[in-house]
Amino acid sequence: MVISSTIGHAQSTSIHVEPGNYSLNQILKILKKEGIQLAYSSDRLPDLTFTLSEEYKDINKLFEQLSKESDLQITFRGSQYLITYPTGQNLSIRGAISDATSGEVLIGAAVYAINLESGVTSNNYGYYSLQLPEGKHVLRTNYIGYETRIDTIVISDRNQVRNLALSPKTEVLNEVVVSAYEPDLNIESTIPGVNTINLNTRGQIPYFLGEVDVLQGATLLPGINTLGEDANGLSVRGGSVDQNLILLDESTIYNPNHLYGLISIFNPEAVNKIEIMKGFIPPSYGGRTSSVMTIHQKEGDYDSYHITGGIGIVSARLIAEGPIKKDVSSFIVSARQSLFDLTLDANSTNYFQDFNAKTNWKINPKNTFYLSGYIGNDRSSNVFDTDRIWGNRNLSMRWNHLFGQRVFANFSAIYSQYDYKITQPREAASFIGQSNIIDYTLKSDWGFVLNNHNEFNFGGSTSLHRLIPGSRVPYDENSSADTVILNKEYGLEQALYLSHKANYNKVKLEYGLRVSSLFNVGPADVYIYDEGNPRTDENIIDTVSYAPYKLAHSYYGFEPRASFVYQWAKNLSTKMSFTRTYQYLHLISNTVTPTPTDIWKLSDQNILPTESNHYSLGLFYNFDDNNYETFVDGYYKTMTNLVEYKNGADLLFNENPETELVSGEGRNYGVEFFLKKNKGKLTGWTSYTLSRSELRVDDPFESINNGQYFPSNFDRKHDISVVGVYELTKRLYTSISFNYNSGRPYTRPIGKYTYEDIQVPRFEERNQGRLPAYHRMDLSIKWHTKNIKPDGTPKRFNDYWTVNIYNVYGKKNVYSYVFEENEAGETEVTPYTVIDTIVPSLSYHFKF
Amino acid sequence: MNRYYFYIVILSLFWSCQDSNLELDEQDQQVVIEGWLSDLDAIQFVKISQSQNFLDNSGTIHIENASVKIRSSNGITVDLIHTENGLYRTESVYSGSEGINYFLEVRLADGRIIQSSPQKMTNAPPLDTISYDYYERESATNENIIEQVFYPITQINDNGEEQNYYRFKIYKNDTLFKDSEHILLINDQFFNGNSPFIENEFTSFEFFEGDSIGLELQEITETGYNYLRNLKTQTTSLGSTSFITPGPINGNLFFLNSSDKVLGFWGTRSIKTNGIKIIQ
Repeated sequence: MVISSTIGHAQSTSIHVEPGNYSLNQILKILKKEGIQLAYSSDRLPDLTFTLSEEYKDINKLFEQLSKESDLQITFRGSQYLITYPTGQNLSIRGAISDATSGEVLIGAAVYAINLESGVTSNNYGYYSLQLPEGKHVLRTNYIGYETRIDTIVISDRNQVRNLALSPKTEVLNEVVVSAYEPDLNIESTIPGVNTINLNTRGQIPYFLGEVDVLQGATLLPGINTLGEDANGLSVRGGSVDQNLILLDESTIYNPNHLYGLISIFNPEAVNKIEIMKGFIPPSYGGRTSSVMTIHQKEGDYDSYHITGGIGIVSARLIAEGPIKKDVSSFIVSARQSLFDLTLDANSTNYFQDFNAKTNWKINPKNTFYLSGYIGNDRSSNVFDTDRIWGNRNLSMRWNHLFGQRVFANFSAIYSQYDYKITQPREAASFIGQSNIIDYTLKSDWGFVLNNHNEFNFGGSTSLHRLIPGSRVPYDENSSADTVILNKEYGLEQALYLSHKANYNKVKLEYGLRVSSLFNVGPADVYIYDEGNPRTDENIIDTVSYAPYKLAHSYYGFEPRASFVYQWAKNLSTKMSFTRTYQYLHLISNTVTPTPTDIWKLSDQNILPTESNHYSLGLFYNFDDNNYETFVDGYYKTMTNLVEYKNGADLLFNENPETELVSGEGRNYGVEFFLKKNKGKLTGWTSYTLSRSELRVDDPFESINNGQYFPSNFDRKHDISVVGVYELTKRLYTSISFNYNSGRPYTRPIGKYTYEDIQVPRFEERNQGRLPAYHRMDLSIKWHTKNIKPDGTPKRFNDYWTVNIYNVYGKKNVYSYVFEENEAGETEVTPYTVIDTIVPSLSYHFKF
Repeated sequence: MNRYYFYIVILSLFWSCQDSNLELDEQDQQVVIEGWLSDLDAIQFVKISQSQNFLDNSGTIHIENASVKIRSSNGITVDLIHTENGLYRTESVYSGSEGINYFLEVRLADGRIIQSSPQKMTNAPPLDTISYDYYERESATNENIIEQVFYPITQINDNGEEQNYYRFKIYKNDTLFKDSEHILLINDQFFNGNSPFIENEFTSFEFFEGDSIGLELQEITETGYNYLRNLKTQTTSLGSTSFITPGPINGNLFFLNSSDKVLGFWGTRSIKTNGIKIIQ
């Protein structure tokens, strides 16, 4: 406690204050009337109340009494009394927020000092730091799906660490998709367009074949789409699939799908949350122009051992977790294996598996260490012994450290790899073909909490990308195949960033700068093309070779980011944001939807980095005590140097793919409407997006569609999603989802001709036709068996069943058109449908 | 009342998104030329027709009154005369010679002149060896029957001094597999000049005991190879889950005095043939 002791310097002045209850303000008014000269700033003084039990005639005695009862500091300066309150003492409380049962850290949980109306949220590593004046405070900590926790704390120490553990709610509501962690956070957050899907739910939205899938769930959110049931990847706000940065515990995932796009690689037992930033992207992230999707692997239980598992049509899953050293370290391992060959090709079999592991050590309150990894494979074999295998391998090591009381730091070392391998042993020219991309990344992120209103984040990262676009070696010594290895690519992608978050009553602001760069380094052979002529093999005028580690080319990019929130009222805000990003890695594909064989390519002399400028403006409103969340968010985005491919491009094992590529520009714009109900027996949301996504390729030698804007593959004018989860009983939930999209563009034939008796459709301009609209309804029922013993205590064994009905009314959604000749030799247009019937499924899940 | 309103909205959505009939634009028709000059002593053909609207099944429109010539880099000109249905033929047997560049010239009745880019005649390696192998599978009609499905195997010498582009045509009992998925293209990018042979297993061609296998090896130019590759992908993979973006198939023919486009391809091919009957 701070007690003023300087009053005695002043001359004693007589006053008259009767006994009674007074507010500080009332006392100061009385003293002013008595002619005492006072200096104070009324907005910096708290609302204090004093009970005066006796009559005061001496001002020094009164001030002594006031100081004794409060933290007021009263000093005599010159001819007046200076009255202050020690708000600027810069004491802080900090620590980690975690799940009380499992010990897992909670990201985005809110800590709020009720008496000061001031709070913060835990960062991406679960840490918080809250500035509080010395004294007693009431802290409220909450997180969706957890009991709110109230703590009375006394701040007396400069270096106070307090870890806060939250207990999961016993009767959890249906938090299927979370767009806010605490009431009004969606109003205040400086990241508009962030959506979170939480898998720790009692109710469950319907999923294809009952396999809980974060990416499939994401398509029900505004502005997020796919091309169809078996199309790889997601399109966010009209962007292409390779423009999303997908991070699994900070490690880049290059192919997020299994079974050619049918389901995602994220084992629902191993991950607990996906966060998608599709509007403002904070400066700490970069490298992709559409969105950032962060997926967190679950942490093992610090307290007790558990086995969790599940089985459905798609896969069987098993997870084991528990403490290594109780309350200090934990582990979790999980495996998923596909059960049946779900593809319909009689000549081939397709399977997949995933393996996830994570371990954590809370070395002390200041240091936590994480190690997590993932290995996944898809395997396709055919009757001719051709074997294809592809998948991601990821490893990340992270160390979180608290420096002093207000500085948080994270250090990460990350490895990510995507491989494709084909073995063809049968032919005389039998071979093993491979392509892969490997990243070695070091990064560090720092947070400095200046006070409760100002926070600085800064850091940097460096990634070495090593790309093998293709290699073919003979299968054995009998093979007549040559060894052909396309030139490897090496690139160092680096970034430094600094951002400032200001958080005031009405105004929240986050702005910063990210400076990114790419250094193409040797060994490399760089083809120089004759300027003023098309980029073709014939126009290569020189080849420049670079020795290992020699710089071949470099790019720099300044990426300003800003987000501004004005809060008109506690439940109403306007958000504006601007995000510029550069993308130095491109997925090279000439198919409408990416395939596992597609390769990644670094920007280089011939392929410029893609630049995107994204503007958004939105209105966010919550009502009925946060029961309903709504927003309207508009965006406009321009992109330059998009990598497009020429008509008839041959990208397979191409030594200089730039000869098949052209540069384009794009513009995506739209407005998203969202309404969500959070509480009650019925929860869910509905969203509507009106948007456009257009491309233009105006190349002097290879224009597409005469250099005019044309709709991109992801152009969907209308997109409607409706999701509802209804709690029939405490153990029985039913849910429904409905999705409607305008048909996507397709390239329609403008004629046909005959060549060698083959009917050839004649195509000219891309994407001038439109498929019929897509719509689908799914249902799900989730039934939890009784998990309470007759004596009222909870059982250790918990299980539930889910029944899913996909495509309830059996809509034959047209995925594309096939242009073919019937037996009579007539050309026909046949709609192609991936799933044309009702698909019921059953799955079972347990935990003990 | 609100609830009924909700139902009406949902119903109207279904109503409005019934699959509509595909509308395909009417377009100007373009000239299509097809022809391959071979190195076999044979009558050489060129076919000239017009493109049509996509759903027009009234039959191909032929161009019958054009003047068609094959010219060569060594100054030889060969005239082709119209026979029927847009098919033009040399008056007598004619063969291209190895190492000579040839091009096609077509004068249409309206005065427009079409020319092809030059195409060099190559010399395909011998097709000396031909054999077959089989795999077993359940019969499509009776799953209790395991049937043997045969496929041809051949070996050829590849010239290691240059990039070579090959096309195989396969005949079953003298009938050509002529669907676009049976356009079989191989280049020597991965086995250039390797001795003694490359071997090709044609596992997607199904033969049964007693069938005769006919094999035709063509060596063609790079542009011809790329045209056929494009033709194949544009006519086979469309509509599949990972389909190539549809686009124009650029050939090697163009108007000298008009900005119109010409469809199709005219090229040269060196041919070798061989055959075998499947006897167990």
